[in-house]
Amino acid sequence: MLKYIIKRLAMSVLILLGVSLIIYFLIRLMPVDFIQDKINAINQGGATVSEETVNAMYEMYGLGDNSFLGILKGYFSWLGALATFDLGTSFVYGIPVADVIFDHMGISFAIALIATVFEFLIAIPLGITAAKHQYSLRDYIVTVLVMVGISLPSFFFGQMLKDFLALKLGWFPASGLIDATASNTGLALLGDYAMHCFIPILTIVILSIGARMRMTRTNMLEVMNSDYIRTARAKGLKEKVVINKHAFRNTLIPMVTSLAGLLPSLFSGAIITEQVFDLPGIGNIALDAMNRGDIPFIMGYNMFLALLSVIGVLLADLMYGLVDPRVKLE
Amino acid sequence: MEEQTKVETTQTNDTEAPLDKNVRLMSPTRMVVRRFFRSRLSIVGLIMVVSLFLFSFVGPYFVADLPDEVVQTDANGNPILDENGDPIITYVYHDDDGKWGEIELDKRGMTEYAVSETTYTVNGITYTLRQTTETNIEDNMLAPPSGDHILGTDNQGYDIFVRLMYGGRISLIVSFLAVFLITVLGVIMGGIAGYFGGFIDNIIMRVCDILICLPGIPILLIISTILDASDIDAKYRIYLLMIYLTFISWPGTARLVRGQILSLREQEYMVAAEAMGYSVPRKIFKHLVPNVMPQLIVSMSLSLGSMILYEATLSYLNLGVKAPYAAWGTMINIISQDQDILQNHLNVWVPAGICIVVAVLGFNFIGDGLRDALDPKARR
Amino acid sequence: MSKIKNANRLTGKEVRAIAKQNKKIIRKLEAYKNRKAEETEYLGHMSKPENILEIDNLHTYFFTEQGVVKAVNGVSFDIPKNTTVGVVGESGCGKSVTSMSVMRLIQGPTGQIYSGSIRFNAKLDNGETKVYDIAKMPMDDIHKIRGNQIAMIFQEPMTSLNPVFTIGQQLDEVTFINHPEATKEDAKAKSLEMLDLVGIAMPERVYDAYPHELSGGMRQRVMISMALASDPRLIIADEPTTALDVTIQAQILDLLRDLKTRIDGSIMLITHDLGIIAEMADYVVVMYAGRVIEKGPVSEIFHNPLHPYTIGLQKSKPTLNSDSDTLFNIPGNVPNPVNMPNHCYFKERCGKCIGKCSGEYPQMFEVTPNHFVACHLYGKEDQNG
Repeated sequence: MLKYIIKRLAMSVLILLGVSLIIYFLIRLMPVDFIQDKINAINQGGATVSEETVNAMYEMYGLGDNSFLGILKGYFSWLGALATFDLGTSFVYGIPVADVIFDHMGISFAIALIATVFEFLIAIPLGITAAKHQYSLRDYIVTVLVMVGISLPSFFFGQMLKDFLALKLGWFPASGLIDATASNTGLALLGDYAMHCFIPILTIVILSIGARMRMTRTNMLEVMNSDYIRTARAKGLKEKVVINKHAFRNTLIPMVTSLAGLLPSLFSGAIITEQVFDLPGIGNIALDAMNRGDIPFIMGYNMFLALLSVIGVLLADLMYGLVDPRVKLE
Repeated sequence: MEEQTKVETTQTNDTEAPLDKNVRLMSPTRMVVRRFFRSRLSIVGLIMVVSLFLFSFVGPYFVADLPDEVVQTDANGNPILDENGDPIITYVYHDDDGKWGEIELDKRGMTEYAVSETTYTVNGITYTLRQTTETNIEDNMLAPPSGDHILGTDNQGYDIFVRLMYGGRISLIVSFLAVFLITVLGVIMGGIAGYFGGFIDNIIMRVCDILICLPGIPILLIISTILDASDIDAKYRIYLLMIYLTFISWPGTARLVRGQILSLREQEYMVAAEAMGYSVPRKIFKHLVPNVMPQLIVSMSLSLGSMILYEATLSYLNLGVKAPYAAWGTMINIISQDQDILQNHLNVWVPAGICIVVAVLGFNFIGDGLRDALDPKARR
Repeated sequence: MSKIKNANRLTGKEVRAIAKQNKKIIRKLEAYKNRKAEETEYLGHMSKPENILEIDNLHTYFFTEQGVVKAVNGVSFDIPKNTTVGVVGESGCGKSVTSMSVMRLIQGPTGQIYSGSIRFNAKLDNGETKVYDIAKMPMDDIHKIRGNQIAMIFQEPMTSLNPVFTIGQQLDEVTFINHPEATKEDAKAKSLEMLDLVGIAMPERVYDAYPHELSGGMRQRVMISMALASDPRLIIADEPTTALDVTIQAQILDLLRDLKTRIDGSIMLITHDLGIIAEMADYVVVMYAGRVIEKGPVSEIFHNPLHPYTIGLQKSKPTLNSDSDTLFNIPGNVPNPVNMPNHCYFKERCGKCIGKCSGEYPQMFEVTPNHFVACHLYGKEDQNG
């Protein structure tokens, strides 16, 4: 077991190296004068990017030296900085990139967590019912709704909800995280948060239910056709127990595995949804940084995401070993 | 042909037990077709996709060009006359590059020309001085739906209905191209990995691991910035982005193909093929390919839907197709700058969203139907 | 060369007609299966009091898109108390479907019990006996007999145990079903006893093991102990030894033979192996293409087989002391069960055909007491006047 984990960790480091290489060379493809233009634009926009910050970035990435050795040197100097969790200083915010990420991660995480909980609570029972009554009217309706959910573009659906629930009906605030005009504290502040986050969460939940439900249904159907379900029925178990205990426990295996895979998305922020509702989550910040040419932040954010997905894959593997008694991690 | 039919029937009678003569089964093709069409959803999906194709590729040929000249009318419908008593004529701006509507604005009424003539007599010669005065009046922006513009015009004067067609062309072409490339690359890489195994397999799979861990949209944001920096024609940047998307998306297909090949290699009939001394190409094309095909077709039709979503999202973020070219995503992007359009001009952005949903839904329905139809284990 | 139209292919029109018809019948049968019903609705009477199970003219059909597959087409036989009845036949002859019908495990909506009755003499916990017609029972009430009155051992021990629960959890469950008031300790004690009974050397260790940690033979023993745990009146063993190797087979068979004396019940043993039947069974039912073609006491069937198919089966058994180098085989294949003709299904493969064989399907005819055969060779001469 320990040996397996060490092996997997080594593999993960290798994958991260690969990812960092690709990201680094993408940045190197950017013309230097273009970066300078962007910095000037940021300076005109009110913020000041200090000469120091820019020089530090040039040094960190080894920009400007386009010889092969220069690029190589730049990559390793960046890698060295990464190893000490130094992601550089953000142009726009003037503080270390890691700090920017941590400052804005909380709100993204809260929204994603709540949405994920609701997603599971709604999708799993729906998936099981659909599988139990395969080809029935219920299955049909659920399938169609799921497909519509999968097919809706998040920006379109988010805007529709925003237009309808917030602007037309006025039930919820349209954008932002807090009501700037009121100075709420305590419970009132929490309520204000809830009101602002309602539509974004609703959007995410509706859009993500589909895939989860379909996965549950497929797994459930596969399990329901297996021999051990027949055995369970032959034992005289009530159909409810057969499904909720014997079948469900088996469908749980891929479910838990995918749960671990979900972990990264909890922290990475929903770029589109946050953009639509103008939430100060990490996704929206990243989009803004991208548009304004905040190179250190873009690099840092991408590496952060890559790290998250590597951890997700690793966790999924380990979870699989824990949930399925047949799997021995070796 | 007549004769051959006879031969066939007599043969059946001779060689097979007469009992089996009664047994009439569905041909495998018919079975797949029947299973596909049994689901009403597949039919709906097919209709959706076909009509979108017709709309996007054939539709523009039926769009009437705006008239070159338009007589300006007053509120009562009477022509407005200039000082000479001639009606004032507006000229519609035409661009030779694209067909009407693709990148062409409705400039009707944008420039008003008033012509006045003055006659001078100098030294017995009469000169006529013809003077044209140009008056700029408002663009035909945010026009409500009408006969000329079925869905009205957007905030710049583009005809929405026509732009939906051109947007559809881009979305469909781009996603088909991407899916095609992904499949080709995935099959080649997966095939190599699965067939040769060992070291080569290891390398390819590790590359897959790396590509799968690359963050999707954030990296596209970087690439888009690079494209901005390198002055790529707005028309082609979406293709470059989709090529990148291909580059990061092939591992899914490769893993599918590799897994299938690995499991097939274990099957008895492959061992039998080996024992019978079949050549490598024969083994691959006669035995492996037909087994991978069903899954491949399903995954292709499902990824068509997701590619359209990707393209739309990129365009919405103003990274993909940029003005003056149209894309469904770009057409929705308008509202992120203008709250008024979001609230009061639904005709500007909702149709584009519906088009996206219809396209993605159509491909998903077809993919799902195909999955059921091609699955030999499917019950009922 | 253009495509040859194949006469053996269904046309689109026919396919649609089949689908339409299937839908109608399936809906009706599903509604019947899922109805709520009073117990009196499915109570019946045994035709002979000594029988524990009477299958009477059972029809189990599969409504596929290719047509109706009459997997079980009018099967009738009895299982008397304290006997082992062997059901024998080629693969696909409907013997498994018959047993699944008794357990009501036929996978809907495609598979349905179409008609017939399966009368079961149930002994309730309070000692009272009741005769249930299993074929008429609604699915909600099926737990009255499934598991506690009739238990089943399946063909595939490798996949028949739930991989995510330990053997102990799965065994205890049986006790809890039948005795909801039992404590955990009671259940464990009973499970260990059962494991011991089926000859598992280290019951404690197996109790805590997961199925994948056991060999095929061990798993089949566990399956048998699971079937025993509920003290059933009837055990259906569906090819219990097919997936096992020969030495294990012998052990499992010994175990089964032993069982009958212990549980004071009956066994319905399904197999395609005549050797097993000869060793184990008291009565034999020979099935062919969804019908019973011959049934009788084991000695009769082995010493005096009447139906040409049974004779063929006997002959195809390899023997050591025969001179021939080649094994005997019955020519031809089992007919495809879609669109069965109305004459004897064995006609095309039969070497003893007479003129009558092209006529109606032969009736069951009692040759000697308890020995029945469905063949025109033995039917009453004066049947047609």
